[in-house]
Amino acid sequence: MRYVQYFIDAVALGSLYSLVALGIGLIFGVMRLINLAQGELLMVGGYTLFATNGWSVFVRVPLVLLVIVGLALLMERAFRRLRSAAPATMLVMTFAVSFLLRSIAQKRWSAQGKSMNIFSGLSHAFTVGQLRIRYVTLVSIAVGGVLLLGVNLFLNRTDIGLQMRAVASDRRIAQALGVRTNRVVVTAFALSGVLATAALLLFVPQRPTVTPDFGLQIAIVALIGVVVGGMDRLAPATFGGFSIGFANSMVFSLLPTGQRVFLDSVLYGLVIIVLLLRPQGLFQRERQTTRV
Amino acid sequence: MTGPARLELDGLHVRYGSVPALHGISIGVSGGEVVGIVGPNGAGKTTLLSAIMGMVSWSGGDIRFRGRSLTRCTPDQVARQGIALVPEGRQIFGDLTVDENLRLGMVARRGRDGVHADLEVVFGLFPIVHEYRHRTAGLLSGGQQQQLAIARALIASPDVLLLDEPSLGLAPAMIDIVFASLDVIRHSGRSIVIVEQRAQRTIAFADRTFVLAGGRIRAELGSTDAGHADLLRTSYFGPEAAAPEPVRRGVEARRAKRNHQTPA
Ligand SMILES: Nc1ncnc2c1ncn2[C@@H]1O[C@H](COP(=O)(O)OP(=O)(O)O)[C@@H](O)[C@H]1O
Ligand SMILES: [Mg+2]
Repeated sequence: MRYVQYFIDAVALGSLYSLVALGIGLIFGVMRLINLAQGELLMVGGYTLFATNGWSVFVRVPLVLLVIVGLALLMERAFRRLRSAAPATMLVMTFAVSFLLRSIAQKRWSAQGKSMNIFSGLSHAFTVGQLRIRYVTLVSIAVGGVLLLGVNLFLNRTDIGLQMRAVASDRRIAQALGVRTNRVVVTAFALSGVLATAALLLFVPQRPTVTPDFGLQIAIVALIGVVVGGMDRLAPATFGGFSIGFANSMVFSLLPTGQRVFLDSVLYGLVIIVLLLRPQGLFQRERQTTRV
Repeated sequence: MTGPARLELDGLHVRYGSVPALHGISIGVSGGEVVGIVGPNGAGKTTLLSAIMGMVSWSGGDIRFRGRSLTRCTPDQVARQGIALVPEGRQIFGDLTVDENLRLGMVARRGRDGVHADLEVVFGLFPIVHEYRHRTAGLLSGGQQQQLAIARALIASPDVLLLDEPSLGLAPAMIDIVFASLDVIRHSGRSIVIVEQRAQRTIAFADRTFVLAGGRIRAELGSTDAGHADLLRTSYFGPEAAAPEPVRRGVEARRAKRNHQTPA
């Protein structure tokens, strides 16, 4: 029964990381760009929650969504100017944006954690037999599932979703067919902002304090998940994010209490093994050799 | 619509960095006309089509469509004005289905009117595209992918269809299918610009064919010049190589005559 408990908790954390990973994967798909500032979307959203503690959730949730999506669109604007630059230049640019935002946060709010109270009821738990399940666990799994399904439907059932897949596959040709690639990229950034908002709100019950590095810590883990899963395609990238969250929670639960300082070592040890065994990514088919 | 669908390249210069690829190309394509461009590898044929699509910018001269310059147009804007490209090497979306490839072709359409009728025409030309429409496009054979690439361009209902070496790497029977479809397309009133290394067939098919080498036009041929091997060889190797006098004069006379007929 203990293991069922661990499993459910791990699925919940996995679905949170899968949301962040999907956001990273969407942007990588349309821009071939790893946005190292992805985590700062969560961080800025976190400080928005802190600044609005005590307000009605009906104001706070839309406000946080607005702030995060707005910031995502600003990032798109900044990166757009560098679109023809070398990939390394763009990567450095995203890191610079991340660094800048964290410095501003540090200056404004100091490195000390600020509490962001929202949906405090979600931290409560109920028991089923020997299982003790917090509401946030169920909500995370449900929201994660719904959003992943929603993005899937968006990509597969709408015209703009199809155009997004085309841009991810071959931007030049998509544009030559009439696809307004800027619009598609903007949509991808907005979508990843929505995903970051959902992830942030669901992270709050277990990480209720925001620091300048709040987002970075989450995004790095998600990014590693994306790489482990295989970043060329969305589904493996997302599932990689899920896996790293799942493994994170599982290893944490399974390690004896005194040994939990080794959580990261165990986790990254696993990552290294995976990458050595399957450099193309855990869930990626063998790289296609022929592309006509 | 906005004026006759005449496409005009006027003294076009394109360079990659400091390396020039096209030196002052002037070609006019009237509505409904089929223009061929033949030339050896590296002649600048793909560059020429890329410039028309707005995929590379030019350093001199101009490209006009319906009398308006395409200078500032992005590729999607060019496509939406009614110019469609069948790219070199087909470049279909291999991880999407055949149907999804076609839907992407529709993006450039001006309005949804007539899309069903156009689909019927396309499926009539390429039954295999209809039969395999639910398959992953990357699993089609090279010839089938080429048919899909043409279908995808055609479903945009373009006034001008640009084709970059559509017969490259295809079996003879497939090449016949491709040229047969182009023959139907030309009779629907669309202009066609076809780039090929396969000179004889292109010259015979096109109303006029330009021989491109080293980024310059070396000759202009009519469809009856297909047999003139000497002329072709001269054109491929540049004017330095001696050409039989009468044939060269023939070309120049024809060019003069055309210029007289269609004042710029
Ligand atoms: N993206 C590019 N960057 C630099 N040089 C290029 C590029 N594309 C083509 N070229 C050069 O321009 C010239 C013309 O190429 P291209 O238009 O592809 O010729 P073709 O299609 O007739 O074979 C060649 O010398 C080629 O090396
Ligand atoms: Mg070429």
